[in-house]
Amino acid sequence: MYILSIDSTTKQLSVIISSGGEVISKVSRGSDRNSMKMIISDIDGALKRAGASIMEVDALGVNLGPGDFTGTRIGISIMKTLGWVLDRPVYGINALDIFASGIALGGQDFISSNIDSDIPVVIAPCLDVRKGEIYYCLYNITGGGKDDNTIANIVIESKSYKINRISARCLVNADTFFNDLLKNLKKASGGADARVIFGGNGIESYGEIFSAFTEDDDRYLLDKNNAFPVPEFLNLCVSYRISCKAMPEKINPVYVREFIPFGK
Amino acid sequence: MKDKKDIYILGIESSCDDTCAAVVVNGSDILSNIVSSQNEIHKKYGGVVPEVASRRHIEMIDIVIMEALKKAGIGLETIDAISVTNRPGLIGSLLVGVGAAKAISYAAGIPLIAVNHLEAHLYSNLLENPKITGGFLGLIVSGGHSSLYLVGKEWNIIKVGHTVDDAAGEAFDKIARYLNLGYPGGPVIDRLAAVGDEDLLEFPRPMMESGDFNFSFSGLKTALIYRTKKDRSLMSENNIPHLVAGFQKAIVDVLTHKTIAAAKEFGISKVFISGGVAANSRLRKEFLKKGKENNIEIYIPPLYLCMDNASMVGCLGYHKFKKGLIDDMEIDVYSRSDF
Repeated sequence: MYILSIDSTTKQLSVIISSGGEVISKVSRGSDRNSMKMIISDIDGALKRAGASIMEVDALGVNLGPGDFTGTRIGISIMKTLGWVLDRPVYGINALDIFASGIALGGQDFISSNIDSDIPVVIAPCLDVRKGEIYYCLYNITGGGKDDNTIANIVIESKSYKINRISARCLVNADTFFNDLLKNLKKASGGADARVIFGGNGIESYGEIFSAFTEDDDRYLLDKNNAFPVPEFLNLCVSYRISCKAMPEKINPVYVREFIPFGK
Repeated sequence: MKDKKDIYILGIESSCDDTCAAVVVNGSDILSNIVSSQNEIHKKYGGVVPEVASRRHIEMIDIVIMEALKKAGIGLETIDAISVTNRPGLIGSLLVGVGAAKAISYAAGIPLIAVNHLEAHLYSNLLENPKITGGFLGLIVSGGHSSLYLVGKEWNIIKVGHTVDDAAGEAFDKIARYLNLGYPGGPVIDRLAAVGDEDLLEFPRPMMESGDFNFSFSGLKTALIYRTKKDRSLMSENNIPHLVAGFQKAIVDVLTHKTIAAAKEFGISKVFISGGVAANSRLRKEFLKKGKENNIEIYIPPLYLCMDNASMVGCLGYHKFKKGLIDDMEIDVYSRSDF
């Protein structure tokens, strides 16, 4: 079973192919606004490396953003149409889910040591979506069970964990981010006592706000290595959706706010 | 059943605010012509908002393409080539159509042809008159363009005139917005002007005798606004038909006068008109009249082929296909492009 996924939401254009949970081919390069020119040849290149043809692809995945408007739309228009022509499901993944998976795998030691001591861990990807605002969502890590809000399975030290969404996706002003976060943490079960890992480009853009809050407090961890969506984690989220036989939802770009022309 | 000699082109057009797809056989037989108009969406802004347009295109593109195939009663296996507009237009709009076209081309192994939106407008008269040959003067008059082209026997195209400011359709839209008549302005003004007296209020004819074949419609728009500021009664319900009829006549006069003058200057006896403003009933009437007076054949497509549509894209695609002009998967989109 081949899964082909595309991320065109940033300056890096990525095509990744997996089979049986393993990445078997990947093409990822800086697009410099040339995504439209490069995208089919990169898909073709990734398929050739995998030794597969487009007809053999069983499912498709795409990062829905939020991200660069133009880039995001290029990936989505290509994948939506490929899905239709090939008669294959297309799974659209919100960028926050991709970040959450990356942050979880990047914080393995922090996660396992806390969970081993029965301390809940929350993952908080924070995206800089301009206009002084942060787009974020909270996820917890659980040992097992089935949950409608699960976004991916991960394995840490041969133990299997699930990453589950535990809050709505929120858009808040960076200045009031931590007030909002604490409120949402309290609402989530076990959230009030949780250890939190922050990631995403928001922690870099609003470095002062984040370091002021998390400094000298070992309940918080800043993951500075996950400022960009990583195609492997997009693939991880797509694979999970396929494994639980999820119905693909409508594929449209994620816009964090309604577009209001002329600033009116 | 498809005759082996027949060539089926799937045309895709998304350069501005309409999402369009069509199936055209042999460059003239339109099996389907689907247009998903965004007029209702852009109405409240009084004009096309690019970001809003491209958000809508991405929702509609596959639906429109599937509908075009369904209406034509064929599947992708019957299509010989996909022809898609990749220039000029709004980048965010163009890339939705081009992305879909590339994906179909790649997954179904169908040749891809990129076409110029303006060139497609020039070809739009071939849909109804497939036998007419090159060697004509083309006027493209729409919300985004007001240009004159010399088209040679081999369909080589040279621009001989263009608007130096607003396009004619843009002037209609802006005046309609100013008078609170709604959007798009062209059809509303056409309708209101029909019951007005076009000779009651005289407006300037900008660049009528400029000696070149360029147009200017911005000053005309300003003239109307000044006039109504001086005399508010012109904006009363009773006077608006006279006001817009005079305004429309000025635009029509300039367009017809300069087009006919250019045809005479270049010794050309055939004029092709296309673009959204070519749907204006006053303009159509005047062109046919002036054509007759000057012994010039005037070709204007039916209304639905004047507006943005994918049939003209399929028509041009067919002619490029016949010449073996196939593109590769690296085609990009361009906001500006002439010949």
